[in-house]
This record gives sequence, C-alpha cells and structure tokens, in this order.
Amino acid sequence: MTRREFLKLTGASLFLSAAPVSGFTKDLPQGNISVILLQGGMDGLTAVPPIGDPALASLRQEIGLSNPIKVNPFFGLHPKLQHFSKLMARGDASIVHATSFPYTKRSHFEGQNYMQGGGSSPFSTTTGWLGRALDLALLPGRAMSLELPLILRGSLNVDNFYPARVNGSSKPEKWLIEQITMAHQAEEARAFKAVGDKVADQARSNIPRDPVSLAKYAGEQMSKKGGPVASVIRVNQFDTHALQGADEGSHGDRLELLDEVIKAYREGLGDAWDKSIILTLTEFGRTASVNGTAGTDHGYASAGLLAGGLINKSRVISEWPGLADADLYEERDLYATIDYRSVCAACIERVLGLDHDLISQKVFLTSKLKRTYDYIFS
Amino acid sequence: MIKAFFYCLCFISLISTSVTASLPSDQAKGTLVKEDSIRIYEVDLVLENATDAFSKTDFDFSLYDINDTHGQMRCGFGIYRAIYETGVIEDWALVNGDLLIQDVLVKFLNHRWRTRGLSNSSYLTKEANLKLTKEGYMVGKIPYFHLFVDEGEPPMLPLYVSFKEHKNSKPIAINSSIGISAEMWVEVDGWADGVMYLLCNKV
Repeated sequence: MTRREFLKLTGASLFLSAAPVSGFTKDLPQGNISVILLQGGMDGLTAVPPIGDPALASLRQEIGLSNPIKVNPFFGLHPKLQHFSKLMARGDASIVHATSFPYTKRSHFEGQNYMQGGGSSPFSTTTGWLGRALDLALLPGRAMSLELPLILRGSLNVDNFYPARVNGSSKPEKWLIEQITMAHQAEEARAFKAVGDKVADQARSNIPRDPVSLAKYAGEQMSKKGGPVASVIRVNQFDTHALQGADEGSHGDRLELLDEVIKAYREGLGDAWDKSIILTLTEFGRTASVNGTAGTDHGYASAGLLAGGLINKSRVISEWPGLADADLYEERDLYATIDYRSVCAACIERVLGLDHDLISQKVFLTSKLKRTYDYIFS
Repeated sequence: MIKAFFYCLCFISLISTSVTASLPSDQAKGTLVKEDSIRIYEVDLVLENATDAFSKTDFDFSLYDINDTHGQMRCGFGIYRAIYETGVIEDWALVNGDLLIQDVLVKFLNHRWRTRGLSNSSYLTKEANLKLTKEGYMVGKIPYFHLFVDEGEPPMLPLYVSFKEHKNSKPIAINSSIGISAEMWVEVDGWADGVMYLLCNKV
C-alpha cells in the first residue's frame, strides 16, 4: 500500500496523527525489490576484475580479461556486462565487492540454502529472508519459478508464477472454478480463488520460460498498481570448474545472460524503474587462482551487482582485502570484507521502509548486522 | 508533518555525506567478515562510453495519440506544489518561465527553478521529454525538484515525474489562438501533486 492509498483509506486525520503502517518505522515511499539468484557461484574476479590489484594478472593468466570495461582505475567490468555498464554510467547501478554471506564451507547445497534462508546457518530456517521481510511489511511478492524458492517463503501472501504448458490448460474452465469458489466459504473459498487466479495466469502461458522473458514479465507485473513488491529469478550454471573462458566463454555467457535479465527488468518496469532495486545473490565466489582445467573452484567472496532507479549515484563499494597470498582467505579465496546480508538489509530498508535493527533481528535473525544503507543509497 | 518529512529527507541526505565506518579491530577478529572500513570507489564511466543508455526521462508515448500537429505555441508556465491530503495549492512556484510547443514537442526556454540546491535550468532544457497529445494534454517525463533547499542543507537530486492525462488536468484548447490557459497535473509522491499552469499563444 502506498502512502497515497493509505491516506485514501484512512482519511487525512489519521495521517495527521502520524499513525504508522504496521511494521513500518519510517514513512518512506514504497518501492520494489528483485533478486537474481546466480546459482553455481559467480566469479566476482571475472565479473568485476580488480584491475588495479597487482596480483590479479598473475593469478588469472589463462582467464584474464583482455578488454574489461574500465569503471575506475581500480575496478573493471566484464565486457559482457554492457547494459549494466550503461546503467552505471547514468548513475543507476552499483557494485559491492569482496562480499559474501558469512559461509565458508563451499557447498552449493548449503550455500544456496543459506543465501536464501538468511538465518544463522544453512538449513536453520524454513522461511527465506525476503519472505520474512515481506511478512514484516505485510506485502505480497511473486517468484518467477515453478516452485516457490526458499528466499520468498514466509507466512503471508507470497505467490509464484511459471508459464504452464499442461495439456488442456490453454482453455481452462474459469467459470467452473468461479462457481466452485462461490459455493465455498472462508479458507476453502480462498483456495479456489487462488486456483482461479492461477488459471488467469495460465492464460498468459505463451510467455517463454527463459530468465530474460520472465524478468520482463516480472517487471511488468511489478509496475502495475497493486502488483507484487518483490520478485526472484534464477540464473544458473555459474559453476565453471573447467574452461571458464575470459572475454568469451562459459562464464562470460552467463554474465551476458545476467546482463540481459537486468535489461529486461528495466524494460518491464518502465516508469516503476525509478522505485526499483535489483540485486544479485550468489552462494559463494570462486578461487582466486585458476585450476588445472582452466577454470576456478568454489571459493568465498564474490561481487554483488545492484541496479535500479533507487540508486542515486553509481559506485563500487568495497573494503578491498587484496589478492596477495597473505590476504586471501585460507590462502586461496577472495576474503569477504562486507557481509552481504547487510547489503540485502539496506535494500529492504530502502524499499520497504523497515528499520535496520528490525530487519537485522526479524529478517536475518541476528542483532549484529552492520548498516550499509548510506554507502549504497546516499 | 510535511516539515517533518522534509527534515527527514534532509537528514537522510545529510548522513549520507559521511561514508567511512569502522569497527574496533578486536570486534573483527574471529569473524568471517572483516568490515573494518568500507571505501567508496567513484565511477569514472561516462555516457559517451555507454551509448544507447536509457534516459531517466524515457517515456512510453505509444499509449497516447500524439500524431497531430498543432503548429507553434509559446507559453508562460509555472509549476506549483499541491499538497495531496489537503488539496491546497501553494502560492509559490517551484519553477516558472517560458516554453515552446512545436507541433507535438515541448521545449523549455528561459525558466528558473526557485528550489535552489542543485536545481538549474539545464535539467528541463536538456532532459525534459514532454509531448502534446491530440487532445491537448502534455504527457511525458521531466526532472522535477520538489523540495526547497535552504542554505546549509544538503542538495538533492531531482525526482523524475511522469505527466499523464491526470483527471484534474485542463488540456490546452488546441483550436484557440491567444490567451489559452491550461493546467497539467502530475503525481509526484505520497505527499504532493504538482500542477503546471500554462498561458499560451499561437505564434
């Protein structure tokens, strides 16, 4: 609910008495948030190479970029991130580097669960951090996947959408579902209504299932009045143990897909872009050194990409730990100097207007989360 | 409350100017994350190196009938803040000056923002993307400074607001020649609308 709608419903007198919306400690304009899950472990040193670090070239001989986009004297961007670089140029995108959820065991299963669950450790929660945030703000979200991903699971009104191609589903008997809905009450009626809504979604089942098309669709839905406030899309296959490639190659291809997804979100959101934040999430980064098969293995820190009109000024935010042997985590991985949960928390704070301490305690289930809001949104 | 909102916004901007933070070193020991001192690396990318970038005033005109040509009109304009909850239109203009309508295109000429801070005439001159519909509504997107910045307060970047066929708007009477008055309303945020008053003459 926007403040404008809130006023319409409650009347100006309530506003004048400064009654807060439940769960809100600030009365900021509402935005929307989209998370792109980069599964497999995105290589932050490839996506955002620290070209000013003297150790980079020797660590990355086989997979070093010959032509990175120069963001500033210290950081570059993979040449496949063309659209993202344009967003950076116009002040609508930022990077957080040397960052990770505080997880170092390098397991896909644990890492993916942890980055979505956001609890104290992998498999410690049955709900996700974004779902819990939406619960606090009493807002709906929507996932663009067949099953509802952990990150969006909460206890309230969160839904998922995925283009179905079940035989016969192209001509659903909507009238029948409506009749059944009317014949039931309370929870049963709501359940059948949900089925009816799904049928309406299926009418749009000609939407391709690729992440780019889903991102555009998600953006369009979020741009509508009363549309979902949050969306989640997966981009997988970042796990490039062999033949990772450099300017071209498998990791670059995935980054190009990510770039297209961000672009599609931008197109779908339209004017709502100004109230939007998109952030990437990956379970871990990759080793600083190249392995024996011209790839990289599971590591620790990576980079997070943020885009959206809610960003006022593009920047790279990092406490760069260095790539010298002594600076690496366990002498092999980029060290995480920024807890990425704090980046997620800042995005929630910006979009939902929730208080940082509340987010820390109720969403990420810790009282010690650093506030990075000012670094990202000032 | 409105003042409190402004103060709140100003406060947010104020605290944003300080970007270094630190933790005592013993707090960082034994943790998986160091978080000693975050640094901001400014971005040197410029638009010349990033062609085809989206503009902040991109607008989907396909929803409107803007195929007509209206000839040339010169208008005086002033944009005022209309407080949403009370409907009161403030007495002082955010910006006023002149604009030119050439067929469907709206070009801002001499004008002056009263909001101080970062506001200057380059925003509307270079970025505004407004067109006139067949019915005489202005639609499109412009940069919009909605808050006054006093001396010592941190300046703020403009909002980008979309003019649509607002229910309160009074379109330009296309068939008239002189003394054509019109109002173009725009939703700005949860606190205020904006209204652009126009007085136009065909030239």
